[in-house]
Amino acid sequence: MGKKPKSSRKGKKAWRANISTDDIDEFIEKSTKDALTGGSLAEVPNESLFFVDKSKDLSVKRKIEKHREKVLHCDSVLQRNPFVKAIPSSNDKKKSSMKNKKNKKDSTEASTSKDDATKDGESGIVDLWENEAEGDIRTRKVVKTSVIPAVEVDPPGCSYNPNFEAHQDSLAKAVAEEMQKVYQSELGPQPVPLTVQGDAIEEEEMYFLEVDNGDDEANEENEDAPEKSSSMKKMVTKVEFNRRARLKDRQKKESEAKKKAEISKEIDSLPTIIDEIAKEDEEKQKRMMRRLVAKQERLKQQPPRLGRHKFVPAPTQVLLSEEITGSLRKLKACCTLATDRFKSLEKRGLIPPSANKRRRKYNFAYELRFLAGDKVLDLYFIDDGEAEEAAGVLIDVRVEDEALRKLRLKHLEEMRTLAAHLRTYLRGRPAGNVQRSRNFCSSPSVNRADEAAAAMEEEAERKIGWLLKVIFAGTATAIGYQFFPYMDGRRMKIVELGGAQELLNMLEAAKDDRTRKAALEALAALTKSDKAAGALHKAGAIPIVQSTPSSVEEEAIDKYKTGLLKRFQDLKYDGSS
Amino acid sequence: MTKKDTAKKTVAKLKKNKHYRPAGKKREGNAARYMTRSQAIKQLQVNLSVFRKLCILKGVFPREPKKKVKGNNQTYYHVKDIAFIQHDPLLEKLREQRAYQKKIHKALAKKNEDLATRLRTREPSYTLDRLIRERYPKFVDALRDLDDCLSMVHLFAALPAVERLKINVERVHSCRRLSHEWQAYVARCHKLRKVFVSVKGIYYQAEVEGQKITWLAPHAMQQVLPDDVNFSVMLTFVEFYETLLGFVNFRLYHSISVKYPPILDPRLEALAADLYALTRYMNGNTKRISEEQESGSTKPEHTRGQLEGAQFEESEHQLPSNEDRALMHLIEEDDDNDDDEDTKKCKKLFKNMKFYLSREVPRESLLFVIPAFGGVVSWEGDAAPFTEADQSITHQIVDRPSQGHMYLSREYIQPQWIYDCINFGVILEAHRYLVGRVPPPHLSPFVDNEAEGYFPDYAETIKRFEAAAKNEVLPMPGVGKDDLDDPQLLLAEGYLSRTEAIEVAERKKERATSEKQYLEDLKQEVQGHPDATASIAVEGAQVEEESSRPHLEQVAEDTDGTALMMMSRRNRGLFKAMKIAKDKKKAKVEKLKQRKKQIAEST
Repeated sequence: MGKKPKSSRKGKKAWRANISTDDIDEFIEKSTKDALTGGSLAEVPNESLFFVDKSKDLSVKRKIEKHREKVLHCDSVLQRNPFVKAIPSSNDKKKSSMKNKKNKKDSTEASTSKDDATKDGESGIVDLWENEAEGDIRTRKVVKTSVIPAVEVDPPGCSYNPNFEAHQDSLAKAVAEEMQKVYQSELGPQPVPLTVQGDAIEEEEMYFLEVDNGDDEANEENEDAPEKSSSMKKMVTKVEFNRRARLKDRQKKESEAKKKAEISKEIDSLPTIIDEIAKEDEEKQKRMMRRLVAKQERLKQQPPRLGRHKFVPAPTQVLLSEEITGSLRKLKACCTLATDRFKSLEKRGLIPPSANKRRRKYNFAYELRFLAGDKVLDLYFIDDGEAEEAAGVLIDVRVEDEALRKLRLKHLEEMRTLAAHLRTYLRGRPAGNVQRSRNFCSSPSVNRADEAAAAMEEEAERKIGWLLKVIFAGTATAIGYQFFPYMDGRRMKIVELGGAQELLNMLEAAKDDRTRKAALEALAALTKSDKAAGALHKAGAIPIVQSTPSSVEEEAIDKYKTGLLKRFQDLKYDGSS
Repeated sequence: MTKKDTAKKTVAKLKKNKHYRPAGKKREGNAARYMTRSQAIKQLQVNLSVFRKLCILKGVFPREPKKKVKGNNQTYYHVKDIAFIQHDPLLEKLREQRAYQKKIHKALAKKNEDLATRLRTREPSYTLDRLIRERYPKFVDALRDLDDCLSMVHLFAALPAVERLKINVERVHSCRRLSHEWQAYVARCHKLRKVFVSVKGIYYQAEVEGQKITWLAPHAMQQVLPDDVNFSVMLTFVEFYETLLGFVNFRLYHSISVKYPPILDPRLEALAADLYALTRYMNGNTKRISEEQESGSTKPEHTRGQLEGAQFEESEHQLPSNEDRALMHLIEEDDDNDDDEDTKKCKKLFKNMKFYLSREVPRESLLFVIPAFGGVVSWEGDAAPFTEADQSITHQIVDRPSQGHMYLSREYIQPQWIYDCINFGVILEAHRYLVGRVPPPHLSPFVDNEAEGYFPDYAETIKRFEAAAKNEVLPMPGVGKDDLDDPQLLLAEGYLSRTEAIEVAERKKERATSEKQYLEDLKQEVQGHPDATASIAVEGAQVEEESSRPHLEQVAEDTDGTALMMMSRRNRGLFKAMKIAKDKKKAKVEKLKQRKKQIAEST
């Protein structure tokens, strides 16, 4: 009985006269009734209410029994007749055998479990082939997929300490495999280039192209048409018509005669034709045999084509002549046995051959190339952490040397030298430096002025980086950077790395005034540092600067020239040296 | 003629095909017999990885149909193979697993760790016993297919455990254990025959129950996991092979009455001397069993110990205390009754020799190989049976140029000596293999020189040496090598001569018959009968008839009864026509014969 929600007491319902007393009345009524009858039945125990009838009322019993014994007709029909034999089921045998099997299995399981208990403790392993003679389990004839053995023993030349002749054999085989790959790649079709040189044709123009072609054809047709019509129009005289008819007749006769002659000839040469046919048949037979044999031979070497990809055999594992030491300890053994086993699975046709994943490696190299290329160009002026990273990449580049050479990488030589430079440079530097330049701005020890200077330096670095990029790219559009007075070290870095020499070369080889101006500008900026100026002097900057022709259009060239020479003079480097 | 006939033909065709199939929907031949992989996956309602797994476990492999109906770059499977997979309970089990994994994923995604862990404890699993029994109905079948299994297990025993590729530590360990168990059995029963050390690894060949089993074990060095290997496929193979090898080992161990899952000395196991621990275990076990057989039930506590199994102390008690002697026992105790010739030979090769392995030689391989040929071996390290200072050591195997202390009582040789001795079956002269020398070439024992027709120099020298050694060892007359070979040679000769004789006899017979016929013809011609030519012709016909008769008879026999019933109506008609024609011919010939006879009688 849930609580009733409280309602307003103002209404009629709240009046005392209207409060219902049903439940109270009911209870009173019930209790009086109970008192009159002698207690409620629910509380009385079962024994006092019921009793077991032990008297034997046979008639009733018989009635019930009779009723039970009676079999309905429908049931009697369904009951089995002992005189009618059951029709054997089509899959009776299977069922019975299965049943047997089940029984047997159970029994064997039981026995094995018993055996286990006696023999093996709680190990789950049992002898699978205990009752193999019975052949109780349903087995399937295994189709031998391949004639290739599961473990192919290497030829004797692949021994760790091989016999000379055998080794030469195996080596020759390995070399032949490699050369075959090389030739295949050389002689094979060129891959379709991803991009094609030249301007893209716009859509509108394309329509025009097509239209033009169509016009040409139409014109040609038009040209042909009038001739035809003229010939058609020409009248044929009767004489001409007759002549033509006769000609036609004659031709027909001739051809018929020819045909006859041919047929007679063929009939005459019937034996030879028969011979030819026999020969052909024989040849066909031979060809078929050849193909069959070739196929069998091929199946001994590689699996049939089982999927999208062709099977590529693993390379022969053979030592090079200089690797043969005769010592097991020094053996340079193959460490990719997993590949060997996997290839064996493929070779036997157990799994379809998978794609050659070498392409991924190439892609990696390709990626690296771009990455490294960018790093090379940025290399001079990036901060130290990045420089280190770049060095790492470049060292990786050297590791990937082989792949890169295959790609005919253009900048490989450059990158190598730069990597070497970079490594020496990094080695020469204190370790703490890296940290400092990484957290340049956040470093508390640097005061505000220094910070500003540092920011400017950074800016300069970026710009010079761009400049040198430009130089490397072969176009010279530069900007001056004479407003940075703080960069001695960095300037020296440029000089060390060969940037100055590059600038001088550029100056010497420049053909237009703008390039010269840019180079001079850069040199002037470099000579702000005494050391850098010294290095420039050593590199033979003075004669080059002196020999730079002055120009009418660019006054700046003269200015820079004089400025540079003056600087050299100040530093007491004389022009003759 | 044309229209009516074609119409008739089409009608006939329609009648012939019970179920009419519209044109272009042909499902016969290769189109009906093979299905592509994607079709198979669709039919089985599993994903690709599960399908791959099922194929490997059930031994269903792709096929190459003659006509690739769906194109050349598809993988085809036989329809029956796929049906075979479909009827396997394993399929349902794998589906169940997948559904269960989803549950776990879901629990994890809902951050319900408790439920996930609880679910993980009751993951459904499957066993491969039935599949193994199905694929290898007999034990011999399993042995025949053991090459790949052993190579794979040995490989995985040497792989690093990598989580990324799902090569977990348990798998590597179980592979290691199984490979050691196998090696222990082979060594114990002296079943090893050939060893070849190549660049790839070490090839071993054993002969178990008449089956030659070859496997490849990697060198003791870090193995690389290459990119181009699909390790999920490899792992499925390994999973199957592990189970297989477990059962095979069980059977083999029981065949020499050793309890199978061996209980190893934990100390030795910890020191990574599993193989030695196994040999000790086997040795102890067989000894104990033989003791029990001898003394009946005098040692009930021992058997109880066996039953309890896990009591290492007790089992260790049972292990022989003096390992050295135990190892020696191993060789002496065996009963030679059921061993074949080769095994006996192998057992005696390194008899009474004691080897000591230096640190730098491939220990695993040599520990397996030397006991397999009856030698006693120890190594540098803890738990080794004897130390370097042991005076009874006859050979020390070393592979470094300079030695510290050299004992005069023993020979210092390179490991190749062991392998070469095994392959040639004789103890070679040690001076070629001394330390610091470049040993003679290691020849492959898997090449049959006689079949190839080429003997490497070293093989020749060894052959000579072998012959000399044999004569030394067996100086008795009549037991020399040639004499031993003799009966076989004689047999072979006898066989050859017999076949030849049969051939010759046949040829003679043929020639005789042809000659006879020719003579008869001649005679008849000479006699000058009026109808000589005719008779000859008849004779020829008869001969032809005779020659063709057996063939025809055979045809008739073949096509008798059921075959006739099976024939189509048209064919039956044809057959009848043929028969009639034949009968006619026969009658004619008979007639001719009779006439001839009459003529002969009249004259």
